[in-house]
Amino acid sequence: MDWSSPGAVYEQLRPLGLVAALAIAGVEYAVLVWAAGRMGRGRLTGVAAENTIRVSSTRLASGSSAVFLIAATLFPAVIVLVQIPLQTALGRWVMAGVATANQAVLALPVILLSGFVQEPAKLLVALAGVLPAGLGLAGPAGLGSAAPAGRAPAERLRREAVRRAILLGAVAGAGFGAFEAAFFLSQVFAAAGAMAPGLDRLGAAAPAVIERVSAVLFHLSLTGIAVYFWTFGPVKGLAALGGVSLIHGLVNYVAVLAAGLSGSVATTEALVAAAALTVFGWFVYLIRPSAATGDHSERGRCG
Amino acid sequence: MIRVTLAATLMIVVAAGLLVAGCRPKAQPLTLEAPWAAGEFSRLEIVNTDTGAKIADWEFGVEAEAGGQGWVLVSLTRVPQGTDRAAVHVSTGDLTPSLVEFEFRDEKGLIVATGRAAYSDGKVLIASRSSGQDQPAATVKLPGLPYFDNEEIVFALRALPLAEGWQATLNDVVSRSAGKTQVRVTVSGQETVSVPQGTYECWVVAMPALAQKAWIAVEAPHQLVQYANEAAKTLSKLVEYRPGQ
Repeated sequence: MDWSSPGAVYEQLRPLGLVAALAIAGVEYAVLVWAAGRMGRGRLTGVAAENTIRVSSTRLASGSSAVFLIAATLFPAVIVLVQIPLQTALGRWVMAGVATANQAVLALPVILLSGFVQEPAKLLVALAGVLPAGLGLAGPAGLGSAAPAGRAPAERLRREAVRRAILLGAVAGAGFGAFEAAFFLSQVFAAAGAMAPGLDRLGAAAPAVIERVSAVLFHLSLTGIAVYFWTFGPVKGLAALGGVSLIHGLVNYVAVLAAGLSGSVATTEALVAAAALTVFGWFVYLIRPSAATGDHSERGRCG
Repeated sequence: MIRVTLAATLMIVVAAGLLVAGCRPKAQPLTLEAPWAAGEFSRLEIVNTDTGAKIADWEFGVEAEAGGQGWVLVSLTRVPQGTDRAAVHVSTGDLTPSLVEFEFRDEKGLIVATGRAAYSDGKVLIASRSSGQDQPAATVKLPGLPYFDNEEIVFALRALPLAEGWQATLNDVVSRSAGKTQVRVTVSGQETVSVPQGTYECWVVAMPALAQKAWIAVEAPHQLVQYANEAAKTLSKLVEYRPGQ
């Protein structure tokens, strides 16, 4: 894999990898929207209706699409121009300053950094889409507002948080994760393509596809969670951003450790899948429909 | 409740990984005995395990430091495009490195790059020069003793008290790339190995994390008889050996 420049990353994309990645992202986003409508108390009609995503608005659709595309196309720049140089510098500092040769210790800060680069990048893209997508509340909008004009009710704020989380956060995460998946799957499919058709070729590609399914779900969910909390104000937003960044970095770290210690692809895949499903479950729980009329227990709750 | 459960699940996943990492064995005191003598020479041929084609020659030499205060352990890889030579200056007792000198030559024998890793004051300072340009220096803080430079690991394997089931974790300073790591070494048993130089009864020394394996002769001077690198898909076999004086 060539990470020398964003252009080099683009050049390694292949149509099959791109198609597979878009399919993964599309299916997972559809599952998210479906799950968001089904979770929680009450029936689909009435209770879930307020969370039903109607993409009839051209502005809404184009805004979300733009967020997806921008997040995807920014992936190479974020990794090549920001993450890798920072990790290289941090790695040198760690090697020069930390006495141990234990890779588990040496690798921790470097791998953690990945979460603290990628999650803010995805969040910024998502939040930049608030106005273009027409998702602002009446009053201050853009980078989140806890004090819209006229003091919107808590439930209205929560609904806005859910809308932004689904239509911007999850979309940005899906875009970013989709490009990452397209990049890795392009390499894997190219290598597998050199093998004879049959089970060997399938066996070579399957673990990578499974891993990318988990990774895209992970990206989509974490950014959705960050955007959800950011809607309630920058304090909650920054705390959520810190949290998802830490989770992202720690899961990367555990995955690298597991791969190195166990040597088992299955173990690593299982860990990543478990983490992805956990954060996805958390995200779906956050954006679940509110209770039926009369049950005000969700009002004022920020998830 | 669900929130707590989800958070707890994530924490458990992370904690499990950290716990496994923390259980990694620390480097233990080692008793080393250098089995070679000054002037020893070994040559192995490196073959691609997929195609069977010869890739390179891998040569090892031992020289005595002036004054007999240490060894100079030399490894040289010859490929059609040139040579890659590393000379590690080590102490006689515990093979602790003090200096590593790298030299890369092209197919015409012209020097294209040099490097120098100087061990001192708990650190190793690595300087290199490539295509006539000085490269940025790098520093690596040294772990506790014992540690070895990566260029001498193969020699160190020969000096270890190998036995059935023996295992240890070695601190490995990779001066070539300004890094360091720990290498777990395990003796999985004995095998009789036939190579062009002869047939030897060998200890099978595995380094699972590196996907590499060494066959070290049971009898002194414990030559490196065979070396497998699964990741690189290469197998090296002893084709020439001259003992030292």
